[in-house]
Amino acid sequence: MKDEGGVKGDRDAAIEHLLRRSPTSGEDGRAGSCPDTETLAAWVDGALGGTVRTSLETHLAGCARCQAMVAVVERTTPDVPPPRPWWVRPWTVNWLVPVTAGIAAVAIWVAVPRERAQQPLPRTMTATAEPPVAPPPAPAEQRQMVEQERPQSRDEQQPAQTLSQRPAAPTVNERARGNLAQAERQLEERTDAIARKADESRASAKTADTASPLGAASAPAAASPPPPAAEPSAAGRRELARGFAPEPTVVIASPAQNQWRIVNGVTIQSSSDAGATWQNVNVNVDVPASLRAGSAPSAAVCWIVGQGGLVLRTIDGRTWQRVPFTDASDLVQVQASDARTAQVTTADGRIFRTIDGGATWAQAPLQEF
Amino acid sequence: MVSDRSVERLFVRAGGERWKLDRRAFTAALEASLAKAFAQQNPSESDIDRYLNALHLEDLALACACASGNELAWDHFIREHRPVLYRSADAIDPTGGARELADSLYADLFGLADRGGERSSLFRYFHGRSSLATWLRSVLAQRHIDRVRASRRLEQLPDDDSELGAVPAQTGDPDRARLTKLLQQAFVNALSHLAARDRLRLGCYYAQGLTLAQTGRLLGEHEATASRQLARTRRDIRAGVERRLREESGLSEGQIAQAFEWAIGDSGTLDLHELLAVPGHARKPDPGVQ
Repeated sequence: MKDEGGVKGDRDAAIEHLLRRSPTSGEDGRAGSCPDTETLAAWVDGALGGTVRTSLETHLAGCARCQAMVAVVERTTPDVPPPRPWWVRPWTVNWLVPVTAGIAAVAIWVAVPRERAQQPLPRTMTATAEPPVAPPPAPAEQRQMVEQERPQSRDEQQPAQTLSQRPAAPTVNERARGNLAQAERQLEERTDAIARKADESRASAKTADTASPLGAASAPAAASPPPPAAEPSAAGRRELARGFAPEPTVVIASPAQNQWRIVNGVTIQSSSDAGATWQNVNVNVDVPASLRAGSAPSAAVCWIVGQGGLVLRTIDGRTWQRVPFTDASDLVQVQASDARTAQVTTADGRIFRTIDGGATWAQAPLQEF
Repeated sequence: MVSDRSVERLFVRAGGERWKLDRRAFTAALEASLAKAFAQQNPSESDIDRYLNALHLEDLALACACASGNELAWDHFIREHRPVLYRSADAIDPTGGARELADSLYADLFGLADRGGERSSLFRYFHGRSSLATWLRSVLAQRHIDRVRASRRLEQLPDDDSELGAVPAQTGDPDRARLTKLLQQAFVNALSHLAARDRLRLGCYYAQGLTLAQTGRLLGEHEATASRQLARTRRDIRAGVERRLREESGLSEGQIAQAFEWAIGDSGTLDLHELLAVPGHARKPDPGVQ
């Protein structure tokens, strides 16, 4: 014999079962004339009040069509991010980020020169001279060298990263490109200066070795700290600096499981399992330039753009064609709607559109869409 | 209807200057919005002020500018709202089936079908009562729902067994059929006595398959409140069913228990929409953007 609670539980389950037996999409609503779309949208926005809201909810309770509509609207509402923990709230980040960055900068300032002196350089570098066997410089000289090297060591890396991680923003104007070119020139000058200084120090060390009567005996002692495997040339240093900052991988998600990505700016890979595994894509097109961005409006269609007016497109997810573009502008962004309609942004911020699969491009009035 | 000073103030708030919007067009949009909201009413000055101040003025100005073919406004619309439209279409149908709806909506917004040389844009139905993004999603949702329902009507085959509220599968036991029918009638009766808001909550959760969080968001409630209210409504329905079976149908406690037990085992169709619908009203063609 079931107790009262058990009986109620069973009956509640029966009621729940009856409620669940209704189909998720019903027949025509039997209520009065449906409200206009904007009134329903205002209700979804919570902008209605008083009697208007009450009467609308009465209608919604009995009208399958309107109820289905507001349900679809609710399902397509962008997710509101949950409240963030206190340590990532903007007011916290406002002071936490600069403080942390400052501490990190000081730590790197102190640590980087020492690490660079101790770490062997990569094997890919080309050696231009014997390992230096010069004795450690005097403290004053060391300080001077450290002070000379610090800004150089940063400049070697930061501009290179800036160059390779060019922003995908739609507008990169000429001035920004001028700044980048200037930074590149400065990088070259400074890396050359480092190379010259290393050559000079090597030459002076050899002179000291041959001049000192203790040179032969002191050489092993001087070489006892782990010597650099090889000193790179200026060109090698530039290559190294570039190598530290590879092109970022750009992932192009489609509405389905299919995805594409651009690796190192030249390789296109595809995934048919939402990014779990990737395969190289043979585009059968010479890709001399760096690929920058892509857009996949559907599972089979993908557009990719890059430097020199390069536009690639697949409309079946497998084969790629180069789509002709009006000029050799660097393209930094693409937004495609389908296989025929796309909008590309050049590095200097101009926008071109095609509505015929790239047969014609127009920097045209927007009404063409 | 709207004073020049109010128009000027609202125009500044709407950022109409950004689109070089004609003040007369903006004034006309405000008056159309007022006429829509206060049809056949005589609102007071304060009512009008409150209403105008609550409008999504920036969106209204953008819609006005787009409707008049302003290129800057269209550029902004494409950048800010077209992705919303496509994201919604993809959310409605992840296989891309709703994209064409979004495209046709986009064409209607632009107003390609000129009449008498004048641009006739769907934007004329936007009066700023909701945000432009929600309105766009609503129009898209409405078109999608209408298309789905139309296709279902075409596919629907006459089938007496699937009639709404039909007696469950025949078991050969006349007592079971009778008790189940009585239970269903009591269930319908209990539903009809619910408040509209409770029926709407049930519809959102059970008929539309929304989550508790989504149901709560639509009804302006917290997820936990929606859950509690649903549980309360179920209890009310059960109590109403029991009372009716006991008092009006004259069933014994044993028969009532048996009816509930059979209800759980029954898998026949029971259309909540039909049961929740208010009888006696015929659907009319929808005004505006229908």
